[in-house]
Amino acid sequence: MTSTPTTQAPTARNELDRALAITSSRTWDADRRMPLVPDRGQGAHFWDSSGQEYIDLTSCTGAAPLGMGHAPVLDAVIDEMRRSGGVLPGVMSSLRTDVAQDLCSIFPCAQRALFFRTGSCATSGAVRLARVHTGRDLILTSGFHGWHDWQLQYKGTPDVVGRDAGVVDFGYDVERLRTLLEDHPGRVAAVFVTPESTCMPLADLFTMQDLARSHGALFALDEVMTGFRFVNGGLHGALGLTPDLITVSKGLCNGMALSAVLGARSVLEAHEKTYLGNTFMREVAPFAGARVSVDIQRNGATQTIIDHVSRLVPGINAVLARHGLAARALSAAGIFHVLFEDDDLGQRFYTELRRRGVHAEFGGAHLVSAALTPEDIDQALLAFDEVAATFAGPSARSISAGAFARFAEDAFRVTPRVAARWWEQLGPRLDTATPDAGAALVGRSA
Amino acid sequence: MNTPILLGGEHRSGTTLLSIVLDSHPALDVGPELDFAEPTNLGTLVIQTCRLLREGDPRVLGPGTDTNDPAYYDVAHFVKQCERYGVPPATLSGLVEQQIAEDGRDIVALRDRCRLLERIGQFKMAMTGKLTWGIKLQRKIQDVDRYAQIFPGSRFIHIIRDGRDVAASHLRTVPDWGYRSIDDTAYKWANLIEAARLRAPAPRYHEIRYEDLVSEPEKACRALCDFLEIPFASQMLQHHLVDHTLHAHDWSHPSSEATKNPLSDAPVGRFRHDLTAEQITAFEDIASGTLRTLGYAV
Ligand SMILES: Cc1ncc(COP(=O)(O)O)c(C=O)c1O
Repeated sequence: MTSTPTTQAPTARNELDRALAITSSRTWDADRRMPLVPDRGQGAHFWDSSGQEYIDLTSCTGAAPLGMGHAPVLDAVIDEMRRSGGVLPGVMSSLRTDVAQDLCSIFPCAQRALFFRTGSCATSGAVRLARVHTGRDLILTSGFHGWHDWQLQYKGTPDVVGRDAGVVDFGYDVERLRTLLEDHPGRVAAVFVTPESTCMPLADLFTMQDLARSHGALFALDEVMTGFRFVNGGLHGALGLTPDLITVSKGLCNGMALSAVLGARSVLEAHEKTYLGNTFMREVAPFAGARVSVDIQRNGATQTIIDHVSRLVPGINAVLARHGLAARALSAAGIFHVLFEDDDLGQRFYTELRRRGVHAEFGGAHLVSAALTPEDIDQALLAFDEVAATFAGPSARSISAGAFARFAEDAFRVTPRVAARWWEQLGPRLDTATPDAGAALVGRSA
Repeated sequence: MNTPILLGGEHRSGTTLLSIVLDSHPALDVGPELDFAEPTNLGTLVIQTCRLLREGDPRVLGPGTDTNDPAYYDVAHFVKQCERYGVPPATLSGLVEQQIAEDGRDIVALRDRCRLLERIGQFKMAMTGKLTWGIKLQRKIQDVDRYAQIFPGSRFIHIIRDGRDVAASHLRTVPDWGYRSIDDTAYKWANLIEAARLRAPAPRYHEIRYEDLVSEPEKACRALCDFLEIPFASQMLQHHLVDHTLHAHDWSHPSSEATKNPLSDAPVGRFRHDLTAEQITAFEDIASGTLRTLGYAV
């Protein structure tokens, strides 16, 4: 178990105890994510309740790819709250229609858009639409899609809560998927996958898409993470995949809750037959924020994020190698992961980084914001360098297949066979001059 | 002789039974599981806990290996597990002190934890005069590659049981601590088997089926002995007539009582009456591939 760094000023410690006493979870909010209580942020910087300043390498877990308090988005949101009153009696608004049009012009698979608040809501909505559209019950899935009960197998033990019996997780194993489709002819509504672009052989997504289609099932891609971190209309746009449905959320409205299911008109129209409403879809301001956020990302901010990643990742890898740490960073477009041979060391590494004012989550996807400045990047790399020096190891070797498997099984719930397969493709590239194999795979369009 | 022998498998697959059968062999000293990775450290914390246990401090006591103070659970659980293995707290504390004094550091890193296990095993061999020691790795068998590296002389035995029977045992026999859903059992069972098979160093890894151990014990035990390169000993078929340290200090080990009985194949196929048709289907929906690979009829 990790403990709270002892370096925090007393007020920060008190705030943490107060939070844990009445609302926050030790497991999910404090230990795993960040053992401190942030107070305010600006751009890629934030301050905790004792005034300590940090650089954020997570863009608030992707919620603010343009940075915290990004003025053009804030202005649009505040203006719209004043203009419209913020909330209206009905769920329709011109702004909502505008955002739907924007999204359909950006994402190649999108002909219609249906909005929700959170990523979890959107993925649950996609599952419902797929079932209603096909009249079939089974969902074959891989990867994280949020916290709702239909995908309880992902995190925490699904013991007392009844799980959705029509969902089977195939752990990214194409052979398991094939078997499941063959074992359940005419029953599978959709194959629903979160692309893990930094680590997986992306060709597998085409195989999954083909398999789904050849069994009359829909192919759905959860682009909550990837939607706005690839330049050409999400990961499916960059690769040329043709999913029937996608879900997006992170980056849709910088800093505000908004999500969407996008896809083929015929599938989205299944909405006519099933209720998917939310009281608070009547809020208008998130749509005002979304118009601006989407526009800024499309006009350069996504590319800026990708450029930041392509400076940070080789820099981090150089530092890790120089100090002989068995650890490597892997990236694809605007996302990167840092893998450690030894989990305990990784955990301590990130605690030390935080002590030096750099915040990221050990084992999690690093989703940096466009708001990072060149100085922030230098400072972050310096912190990596200092911490790596204190943990200096004996060799510059990369990580082992076993360490990769432990990481991939924990982070993505891949099956052991899949971990081995991914490693076969990834491992040999990790010790070459361009360890950011994912970026090379997906390409960086200008 | 190669040492140690590290046993593993999914919970409720017959891992304890297998350890007892092996422990019945005159050359082998094979104990139950030691959860050595979970406590914050296996050094200073273990010394402190051994002292609290000897003093009967209520914080480290509770039903079985449980503790009244949850902060002590992992470490007190480990100390009590060592006693099941025949290493009482006073001895354990001494072994830990020795290692800390030699190394000049606390026992935190995995390799250091494993060196303590080695020290415990060597102590057991000295006490019993047996030629090799072993413990249950239980689910850690999925990281067999890691332990193969740390213990260069080790041999691994993985016991596999029909996952549907495993699920029946979790849900019906140990509902208080076992997996509580069919799905959870199916995913964990299938992934554990797949991982161990994939990562095992072939010549040092042996699989045994629970079903074979209980229905054709002599054949299964001879195969075990061949793998371990030791002569077969008929005591393995009479494990209930041999003394085992587990039974002397079992701290309510969940399989202690059952392993006092002679081998029986009665539990094979129990899922057919212990699980509902929907539960069986749910298990097979998730793990049919693994069941088929292993030759269990779906
Ligand atoms: C791929 C993916 N799907 C779904 C979700 C769930 O989104 P939310 O946390 O907004 O419910 C996430 C969140 O991290 C995600 O990364």
